[in-house]
Amino acid sequence: MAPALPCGLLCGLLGLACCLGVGCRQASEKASGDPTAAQQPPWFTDVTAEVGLDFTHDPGPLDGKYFLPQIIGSGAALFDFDNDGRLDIYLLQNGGPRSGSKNKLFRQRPDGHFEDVSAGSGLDFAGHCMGVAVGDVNNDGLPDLYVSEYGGGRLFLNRGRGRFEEAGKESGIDNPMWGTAVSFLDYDRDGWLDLVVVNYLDLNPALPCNNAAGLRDYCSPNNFKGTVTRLYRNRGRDAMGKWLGFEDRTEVAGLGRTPGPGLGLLCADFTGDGWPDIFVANDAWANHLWVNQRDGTFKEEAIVRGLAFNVRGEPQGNMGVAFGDVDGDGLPDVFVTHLTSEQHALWRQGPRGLFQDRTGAAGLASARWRGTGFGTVLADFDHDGALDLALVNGRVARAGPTTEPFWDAYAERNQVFANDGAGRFRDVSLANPALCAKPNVARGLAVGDLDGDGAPDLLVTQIGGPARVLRNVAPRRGHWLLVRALDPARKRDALGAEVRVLAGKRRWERLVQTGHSYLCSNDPRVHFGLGAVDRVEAIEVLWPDGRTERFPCPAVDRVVEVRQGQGTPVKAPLTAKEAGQP
Amino acid sequence: MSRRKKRARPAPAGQAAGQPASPPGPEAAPVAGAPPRWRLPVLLGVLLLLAGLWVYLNRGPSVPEVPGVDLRDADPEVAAAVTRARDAVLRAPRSAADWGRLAMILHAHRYLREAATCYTATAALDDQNPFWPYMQALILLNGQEPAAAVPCLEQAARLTPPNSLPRLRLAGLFLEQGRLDEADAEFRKVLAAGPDDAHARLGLGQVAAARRQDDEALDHLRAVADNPFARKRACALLAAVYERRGDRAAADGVRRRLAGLPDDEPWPDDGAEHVAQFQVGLAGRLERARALQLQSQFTEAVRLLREAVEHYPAADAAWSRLGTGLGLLKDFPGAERALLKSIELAPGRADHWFYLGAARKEQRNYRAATEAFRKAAELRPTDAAAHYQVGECLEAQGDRVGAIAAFRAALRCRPDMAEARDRLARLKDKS
Repeated sequence: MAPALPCGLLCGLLGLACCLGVGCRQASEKASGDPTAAQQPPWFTDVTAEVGLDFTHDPGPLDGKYFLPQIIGSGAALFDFDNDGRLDIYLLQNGGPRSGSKNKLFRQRPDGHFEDVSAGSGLDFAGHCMGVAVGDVNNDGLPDLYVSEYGGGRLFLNRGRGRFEEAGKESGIDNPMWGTAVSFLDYDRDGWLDLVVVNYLDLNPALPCNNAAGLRDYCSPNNFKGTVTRLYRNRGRDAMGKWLGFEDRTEVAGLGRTPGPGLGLLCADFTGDGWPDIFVANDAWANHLWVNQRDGTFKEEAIVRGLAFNVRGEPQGNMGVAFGDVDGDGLPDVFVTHLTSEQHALWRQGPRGLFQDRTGAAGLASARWRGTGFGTVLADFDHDGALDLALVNGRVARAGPTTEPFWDAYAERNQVFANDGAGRFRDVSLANPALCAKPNVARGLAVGDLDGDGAPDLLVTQIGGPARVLRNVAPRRGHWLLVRALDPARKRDALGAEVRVLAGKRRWERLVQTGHSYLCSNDPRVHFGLGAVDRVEAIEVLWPDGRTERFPCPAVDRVVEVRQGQGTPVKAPLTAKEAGQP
Repeated sequence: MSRRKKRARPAPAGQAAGQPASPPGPEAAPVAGAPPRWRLPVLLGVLLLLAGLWVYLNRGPSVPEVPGVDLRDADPEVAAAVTRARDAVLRAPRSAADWGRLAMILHAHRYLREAATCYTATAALDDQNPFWPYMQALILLNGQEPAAAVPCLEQAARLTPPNSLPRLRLAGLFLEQGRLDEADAEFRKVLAAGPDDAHARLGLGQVAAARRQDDEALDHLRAVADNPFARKRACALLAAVYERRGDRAAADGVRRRLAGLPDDEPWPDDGAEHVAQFQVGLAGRLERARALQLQSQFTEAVRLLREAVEHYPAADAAWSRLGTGLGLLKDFPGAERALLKSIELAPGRADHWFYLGAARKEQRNYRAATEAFRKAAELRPTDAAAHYQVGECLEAQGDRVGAIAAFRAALRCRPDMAEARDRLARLKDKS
């Protein structure tokens, strides 16, 4: 026993000495996320090979020129192009018009396998393709596509039987700039889908950029001027039934007044007046919120509504956009991804129409690790009734010297956060190795129920890597609903509708909008995790034309279709303006 | 800021242990009340251990290995500077000055991981100097683990006066992380030391706005709404707070003001500026010239740019910058010569052609200017400014039709380009 005292003393003193010797740098926590989360069952499994999705993204030649569009990446669309009730996949390439790498269209077979039906579809073209929007522009019941490109963009009309036809210049869309995010909306409530094309930079492609050490890398956006977001109004059909295409209303609508380097986009009612507004996430610039003035014009109000800057009043590198009510207060919030050197931002809404950066309060600023985020979605992955958060990462400036493979220097891990139900998030990336373990240069993140089991699955696109399908295998903790809101008069999904599920004191709200995340088009159906709620009183829909209807919901855990005109009309809830709010 | 602390030399280990007592002889009989036989070796053992501990505690701080730096493809001047500084550390691995110099050179050239390692070593060797943990924190703040900057900033704040930049950065980090009480406390410490500190007032305004304590937020934000380091951020928050209070008129007023405000100037940061001085190579030279031009020291800037083209004669960017620098001195023929050299080196650079056009236009050589601007527009078809300049030059030569086409091309790229719209309208009116 005698040596015990000095040994104990020694250990204690040595411990003290060790403490004294530690510098300011804490031990690096290399793993992303809460270590205890690793014990939890995963929410996702990678089924890319199982479902036969064979697509590798071509970013163009790695010739030392560091062509900036390469690092922006390309998106994807989840949509049911043949109306067979199953989501199909369209994936974009960025190799340039002269490359052999063409975009690919995959049709989902009844067995869940994806078959390449690109050849002859009309969508199999090569280009510097960035974003994609899906919407039925001519109201013929078939979803059409717009693909944005560096130096242009193309509208494809769905002619049925897996054939798409490029509309060409007669479509009225002439955008010579660098288009990125795109989305359809009906801003004038005329029943025809209009188009927003966000433009990024006025790029000087020959400008070489070096970092401080003299090493070539992709240029910072600060080297170039921002550009104007374009608004194209759908002219509908003439008396003979001929679809008239679009007209450029950018200047008339007021969007031409304030350029910016736009990357992200969300068209939704941000003010509570029932009319769709346009939120543009700008890279290293104040965001823009174009508020619909209900007369064909828009007014930029991001600053006064709190969405322009972060909590410190500073602009950040804003990229992907997610939209949803994270704290269950009935008001949708906005999440935007940012650079590694910045904080992602969660702007909570409240009062209606006003937002405040509450990233820290949501636990999203204290994550142990952060990356450069692009695609992001808010979805209730575990059906507990609260929206969770997924984001995919990948740097825009290399972390070190040239590597082999080239893209490894830009690779980062993806992240998933679980919502505790009150709007506080916990990083559960460690529990989700299929999505988060392997560093990647990810850009697009699309969400939708690919396998028809009622749970949101994910599609990830990467620069220079394979697209991946992540099947949702979260242990079911609760009930769910998947609602498709249809406008039978226009034979299409009612983009812009707001769907509310009412169950006692609980109420969930979702927006029917395919254009969110980053460069992607998502499942037009809206998903609700209901937790323990096994009975829903009603589904209420605020249609894009301002009318509200209520529909019965006989049971949960199923897909429900609601059609405008077939519900019980209800008095629309007070708009924010009527309620005296800004 | 670099100060080196002299450490006491550890005493020789043997001396600290003391002289061993003479061991008792084998014939000596135990004496009643004497310590038991085992106590002496234990006591000696304790003394030895304590001596060892004393030596351990008084040893010099441990320093990490000198980090390797991959200098492949680096600017030769950068590679040489890094190599020299690294060799100095290898020669004197316990020199805080050498470690610090290497850290700053690496930091200035964005070898951030390696720089952070060197700052750690420097901070260990020079542990009463707040500069090193502060600089390490600056790297961590912009990295993947910003929370790791907290202890560095805390350490730097402890070693500096209450109104120091490290404390303000610490408070700002707390604010970003939603640790509002801690942010508030740190900002208030700064304000207590300097009641007019705009940085702290802005921070407290941000904290109050985040807490929705609108009256307090307005108080702080209004106080810095004219400060060139804070006004834009203050006005952005003021507009949001006014809007939240339902004062649309005040919100609109601030918003209108905001539209005309330049970006806030960065808070003066001697540390970051000190590190920036270590930047060498072409990028460093061009950056210094740019800084001089921002201070309207155009002649001095051109002197630096001439040095740059001498050292880097194949760098088209250096020639182009010399050309634009000479343009600022109104030496347009000289500018044209330098820009032609940049084009010779990089004929595909639309911006070089654009600047050449500008130099020629200033000399009223509209035909040659048109040619250069056209080339710029051809290389970069979305460049509204190039199309516009083509239009102006053609108009000056009397080519109204060509000018109209050029202004239209400009508007196709930038529908918001008011000057192109005006010129187009005027030309149409004339017709």
